[in-house]
Amino acid sequence: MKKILVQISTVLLMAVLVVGCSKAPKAELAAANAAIDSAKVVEADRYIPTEFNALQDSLNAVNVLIETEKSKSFFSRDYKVINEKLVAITTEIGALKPKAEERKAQVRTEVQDTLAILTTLIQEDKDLLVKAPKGKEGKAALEAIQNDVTVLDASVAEINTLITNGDYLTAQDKTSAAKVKALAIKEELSTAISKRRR
Amino acid sequence: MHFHKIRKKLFFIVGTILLLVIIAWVVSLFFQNPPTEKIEAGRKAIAEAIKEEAEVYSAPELNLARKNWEDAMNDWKENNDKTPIARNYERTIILADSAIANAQNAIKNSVQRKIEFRREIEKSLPVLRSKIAFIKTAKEKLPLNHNVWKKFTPAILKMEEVESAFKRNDLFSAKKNLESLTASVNEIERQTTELLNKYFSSYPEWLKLDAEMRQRSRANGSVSVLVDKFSKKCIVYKSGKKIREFDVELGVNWLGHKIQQGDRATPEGKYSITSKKAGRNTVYHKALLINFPNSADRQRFNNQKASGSISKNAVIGGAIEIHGGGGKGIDWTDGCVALRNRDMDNLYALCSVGTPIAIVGSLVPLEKIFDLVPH
Repeated sequence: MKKILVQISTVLLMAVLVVGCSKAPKAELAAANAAIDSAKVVEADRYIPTEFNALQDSLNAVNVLIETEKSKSFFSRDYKVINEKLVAITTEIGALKPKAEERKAQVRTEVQDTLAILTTLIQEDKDLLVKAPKGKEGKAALEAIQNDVTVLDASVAEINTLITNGDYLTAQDKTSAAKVKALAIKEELSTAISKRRR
Repeated sequence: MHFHKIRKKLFFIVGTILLLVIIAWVVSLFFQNPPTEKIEAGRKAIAEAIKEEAEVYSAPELNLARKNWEDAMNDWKENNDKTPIARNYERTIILADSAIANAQNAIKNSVQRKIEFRREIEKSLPVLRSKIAFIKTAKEKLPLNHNVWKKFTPAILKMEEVESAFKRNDLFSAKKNLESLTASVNEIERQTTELLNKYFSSYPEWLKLDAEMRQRSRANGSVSVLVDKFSKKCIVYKSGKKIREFDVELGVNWLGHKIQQGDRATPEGKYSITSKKAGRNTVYHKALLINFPNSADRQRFNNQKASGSISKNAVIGGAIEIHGGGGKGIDWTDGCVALRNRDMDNLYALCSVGTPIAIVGSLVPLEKIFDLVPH
């Protein structure tokens, strides 16, 4: 009887030892998930989507590996490679954050620079409108130009909303389009003013 | 004795190992194969769908694939928390299969939509460009501040945006803006065409007036004058032949008849010169006053007043002249016809009180003015 008890205890002890040695990497997985969440906070998924999606997919693949290991009998579970992969993924996601922030800042700066040029151009158009010939003959033309400047002002308001919402690419399209029109107005008014001077 | 003890221990150890192996083997008989392959196939299909931009072009299908895959993973996890004998991966596999099907749909839809979007944009852009060119031409020929043009600049800006998005391969944004742009351009084109067609419905009358001016000059060998508003020309006929042609500028809102004072429209119809002004009698170098309003103008004014389309206090106005001071390159008068001073000198010399003058919309038919046929 004593022998049987010893035998059972040994089996249980070995089982505990095997299970204890091959625990799923909960902490590492939590760290990787947290890293993904913090990358989303800086909109890595929006500004560097290819890299972000690749890492998200790698993390999904590791999750599959973890569950595959869990599905095995506890004798054959091995999380060593998975642990290493999780650490590597967490590090890579960490590196993704500054990259995303840099890209976001770059896009924002580009659109803000173009917007600054556009705003200056619109102001120049307005200044030229004041200087433009006010005679009877110019009135209708000036009214038409004033309407166009009003449209450009409305565009600037829309662009600012897009920038606030972080939609920099659409904002850039709108800014470029409005810039072309603002330049055309500037040229038209400058020509009218120089004609009068002559 | 000692050998006997060692042999017993050895038996014990081997027995224990054998027992463990047997237990493991028996337990494994009840194990189900884990759904790794299916789950992996789902993951790969979703990754492929994302690469095909399904997030943009087939979002509902992709979201469904993701949800089913996550549910499959959760089901797998729940099963893995159970004892091997109690595990059942049937639902996991169903969910994973759904995720694969959804992801494959997302890929297919995404590829298809991108092709469709590109095809539609590539087809629409030249049509829109052509329509915009037609509207631009019309805008250059018609009064500058007509209501129709108010939506034109926003449409031009939208067109630039669509082209920018298309150039950077953002088919989704390009397509999204294309719908509102097309609606807007179509509406402006419709209004422009309607405006032109309505205006040119009087074309046969204009031709008759032109023929009458020629005839009158032929009948008595005198001079008659015709103003073509669309081509901005003043034609002088003598003895049935065109002897001179001058450029003119018109009222700011020259399109259509002059209805009332202050509408800044140039009248249309048959008139005659009632007075010649020069020197201190005019601020525009020289002027030929015409008998506006004539009976047709009065009739039109009274009808509109009666129908309420103009104010009851409206005044018909007058003092419409052909005068100098032109050459500004824009329609600027309150309704008069302006010529360059040197042209006015010539016209003034050719005309006398009583000289017939017709003002018409155009001598050239609409289809010849706009060789750009809108789509």
